[in-house]
Formats: sequence, structure tokens, C-alpha cells
Amino acid sequence: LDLRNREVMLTAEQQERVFRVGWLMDHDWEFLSCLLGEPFLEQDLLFFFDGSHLSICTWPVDRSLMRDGLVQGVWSVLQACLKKLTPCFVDLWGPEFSMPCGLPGFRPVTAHPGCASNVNLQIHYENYALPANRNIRNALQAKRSGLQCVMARARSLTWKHMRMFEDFLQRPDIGPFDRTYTCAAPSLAWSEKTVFFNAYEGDRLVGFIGVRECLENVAIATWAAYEKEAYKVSDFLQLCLIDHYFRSGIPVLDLGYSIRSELLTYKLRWGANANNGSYADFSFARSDYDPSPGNRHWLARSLSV
Amino acid sequence: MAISQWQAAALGAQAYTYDHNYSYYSLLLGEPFVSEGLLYYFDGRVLSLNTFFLRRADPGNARALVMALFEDLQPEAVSIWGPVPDTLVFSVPAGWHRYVIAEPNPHQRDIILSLSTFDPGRVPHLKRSAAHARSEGIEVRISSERQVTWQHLRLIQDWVQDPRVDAFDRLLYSLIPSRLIARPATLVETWSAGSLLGFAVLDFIGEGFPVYLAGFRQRGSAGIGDLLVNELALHCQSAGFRRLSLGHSYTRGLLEFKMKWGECEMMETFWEVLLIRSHSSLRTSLFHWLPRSIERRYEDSI
Repeated sequence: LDLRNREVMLTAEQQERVFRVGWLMDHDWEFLSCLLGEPFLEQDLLFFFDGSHLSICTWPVDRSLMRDGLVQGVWSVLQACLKKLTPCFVDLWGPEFSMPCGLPGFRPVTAHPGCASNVNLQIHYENYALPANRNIRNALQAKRSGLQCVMARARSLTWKHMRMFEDFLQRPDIGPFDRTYTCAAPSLAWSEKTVFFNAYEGDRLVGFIGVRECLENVAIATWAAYEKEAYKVSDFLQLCLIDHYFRSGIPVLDLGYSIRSELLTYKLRWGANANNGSYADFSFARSDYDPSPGNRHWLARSLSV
Repeated sequence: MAISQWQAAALGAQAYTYDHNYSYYSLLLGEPFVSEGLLYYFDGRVLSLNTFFLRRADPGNARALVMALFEDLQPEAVSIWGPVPDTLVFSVPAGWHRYVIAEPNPHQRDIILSLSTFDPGRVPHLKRSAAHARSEGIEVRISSERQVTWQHLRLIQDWVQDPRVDAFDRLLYSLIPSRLIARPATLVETWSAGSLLGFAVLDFIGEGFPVYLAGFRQRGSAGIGDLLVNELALHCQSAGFRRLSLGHSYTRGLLEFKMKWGECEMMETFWEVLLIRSHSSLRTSLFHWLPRSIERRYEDSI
């Protein structure tokens, strides 16, 4: 690998490859690069470097590599990055079996093994049937009561979006990564690849889901927030989203990670499947480097100097 | 009412200073609006008013508009910046606190370069910088397809760590990579042996007003600023633009640097005032949406 002297990020061919074969939200390299740095693709693995921190997504871009050679591929990329990029902090996330036990010259900082309640959830339309349950009834009832969905592509967020985001981020269970993750939303809302599904009660915005359309076969529900008192807004928007992408012909709708058991239950009730398995996150710091817990990502570091 | 498409086009034609780059400022200040020549932003809690009026308005008329906005939006705080003193457009309600963040400073202003008379041959020290670049093998590149690499990020981070950069600019500069990903812009870069020595970002207000959004360079890399500005000015001139905002200067040295490029117009100096409702949980350091959102449970830390 010749990484140090390369003057471009992903080549056009690599971008095209990720677009064609990428299969889950972690392959939205544009969005992740806002937080993690310059993206690279080697051995079909996406990784990001910001000048000091290295982040490797061990979900391979080609899904078939999940079966064979993933561990070797991760190790090979890791070794090349350590040699060529000399990072002082390394973060890896993806399937647990792909995580290294340790790195020479580095000490472990975090080790979050896979957790059954934190999995990626997707709707695969090929074999999908809308479940007949309370959530669907709620959504239909909300529609009958006058809730409307308005889509907005490549537009500025409104102050109601920002207020709802801010209220959402006050929750104590939101971690540093999710905070940084949300802070990129106002910028990415201007992108042609970003669509917001906005729920209106009259002319009042009562909730939204922001979707990234950056992969050929997967639409990714990336951000969401709702007014607490709004009537069944979440169910209403979920149904709008599922219906829209069913009609648009995109074969997969990625609903994101479940984070906790309640959200897992909620997403499973929509008929999403959790076939991608659980997600692990391991990080390591060079012996002489002490990363602050909230500042592991470029954007957070830059904002909080 | 939020800025409509036709307003955006009109805004591009009426804009005359860096501060009118509403799409960029909105990333930090909230939803942008324009009314009666006044650009303002609201993020759900803070109302931000830009008194660089799009047309030379009577502040007396603006006062009625601002007070109506205040009643309508019920903000917890109001931020006012621009050449018109806040007291001319806003009456501080009883019980509110007023903080003057910046008073007009003769060195702090936007410089607008006239491209119709721009002549690189008459720019002091430019020939020397170009000769030095040639002798050192420094290459200048300009492209609208360039992307942000880790070297760009490192230059930005080095810059924002400079204690002379204030909190607002640090936030604005930190958003440049995500801005470039969402809306590709033109980058001018100087490279030497695979190392990025500096780069500048060209942005546009509407389609008609080019703006030198920001520039970053390695410390001690003499002459790089000359190469970047020259390339941007030539690029805009050849594209038929008649003016280029070189952005704000913060020191006398930077002001002099920006004024050396030829015929230019100096924008007015400006005030920056924050007004906060008493008992508000907002602090001056958390006045903007971004730090409020990124800092965990900030009310607890007051």
C-alpha cells in the first residue's frame, strides 16, 4: 500500500465499487469521512485517516468476504496502515470475529464486544411483507388524523429540525459519537444524496427521518427526531419510508443500529431483519498517546479545541 | 418565511460581502431567512441578526421588523452582528443581559477585490513568491473535483488550534470538510513532493458572487498565501466575475495582505453583541447550535 504519498482519496473506480456493492450504512463513506477523515478502500475494507486517528470499518464492502479471509484482510490493512500512516489511535468496528486481540506498541482503550441488542437492521423488500400490527394501525390512524409527509432533498434544515435535534441530544444515553454524528446533519442536508421525510401536523413540523441515498441498493435511515407529544409520528414516518422505498425499487432499506433493546424491538416490529449480526468496537492508543473519550473523531476534536 | 429559490437567486445578485454567505452561516446559526433586506437565522432558541443589510436599509424600519420577529419567535437569546449598532435595531427587554463581544476594529473587515482591474503583475512580492515556488518545486493546482484528504484535515486542525482563532471561526472552519462533501467547491492547493503546503476554498453566494471561504497553510511556508489568492483571483477573473470577497481580516498584517491585490473595497467594521434572557441556560460559549448539541447535558455544567 502506498498511502502516505497518495494525493487523492477514493479513486473514481473505488467510489463506483462502493456505490454498486455497498450493503449497509457503514459504507456511507461520504458521511463517515465528515467525522473520521479521508476515506480509503483496500482489500475491500473502508478505512479513514485524519492525520493521527485511524478508523477501520471491518464490514467488507463485498458481502461475500464476510465468509472467507476477512480476518486476514483486516490484519493486512491494519499492518499496512500502522506502517505507512503511523496513527496514534486506532479504532475498528464491525463483526466481532474480525477484531484483533491486541496491537504491538498500542494499549487497548475500549473493547465493546458484540451485543445482541445492538445490531444493524434492514428491510429486504425481496421477501418482505408489511406486518399487520399495532404500529401499522397507529401509522394509518395518524395519516387519517391529518399527518402529512413532505420530502425535502438537498435543502437547509429548518429551525424546527435543529430544535428537535438539540432536544434529542440532551438525552443522557446519547454518546459522543452520536453527538458528532448528528452535528454533520445540517451540512449533509444540502447534499443531493440526502432526503428528509418530514411529518407535518398542519404547518407544524412534528418529526423527521433523514435518509442517505448514497448506495445503489440500500437507502439508509440516518437521523430521526420527533416531538414527544406528536401523535404516532414515528410510526407514521416509518410507514412512509418503507412505502416510498418499496415503490422506488431500491431493494434494501437500512434502519440503522438498534443501540438498545427497546429500539431493537421497535424495528423488529416493522419486519426488519437482523441478519448482519452484532457489532463490535475496539480501539487502541499508542503508548504515549492519551485520547480524550469525547474527542476520538476528527470533527469532535476540531470543534472542541 | 425561509429563503425561497427565487430569493436565493436574488440574494446572490444583491450580496456584497462575505457575511451574506447564508448557506454556510446557516450550518451554525440555523434556518436562514431574509426580509426587508435583513438576513437572519433562527435555530429554535437563538435568533441571529446580520445588520449588513442586503440593500442599504433604514435601521429605523428594521427595528419594527426585528421586534416583530422577537415577538413571533420568542428566542432565549439574540445575536446581532454587523455595522449597525444593536441599539438601533433592537430594544433590550427588561431583565435581559447584554454582552458586547466585539466593537468595530479598523483591521477587522471584509475586503472585496475588483477583478475587472486585477493585474497580477502589479501585486507586490507575487513574482518573488512565484519564483520561490518554482525553485522549490511547488505546484499550484486548482480543481472543482478535488476532495478533502487527511492532509487538508491536518491543516485545518492546526489552524483552529491557534489561540488567535476565535470560537466562532473555529466552528465555521471545522465544518469545511462536511460542507465540501455536501456541496463540492473549487479548491486551490499548493503541493510539494506529495505534501500539501496549503489550500484555499472558493465558495459562491448564489451563483454570482465568489467568496474566498477560507485558506489554510503550513506554518512557516512563506509565499503560499500569495500563490493561493493569485490562483483564485485569476480563476474568478477568467470565469467573468467582477469581484471576489477575500473574507475577513483579523489583524493589521492580514488586512494589509488582502489590500495589496489591487483595487478593492473595504467593507464596514462591525459590532458583535449577544443578548440573553435572564435565567436562560445558554452561556456565551454555547451560543450556537453546534456546541450546544455536541456538549453533553450542558445545563448541568453551568
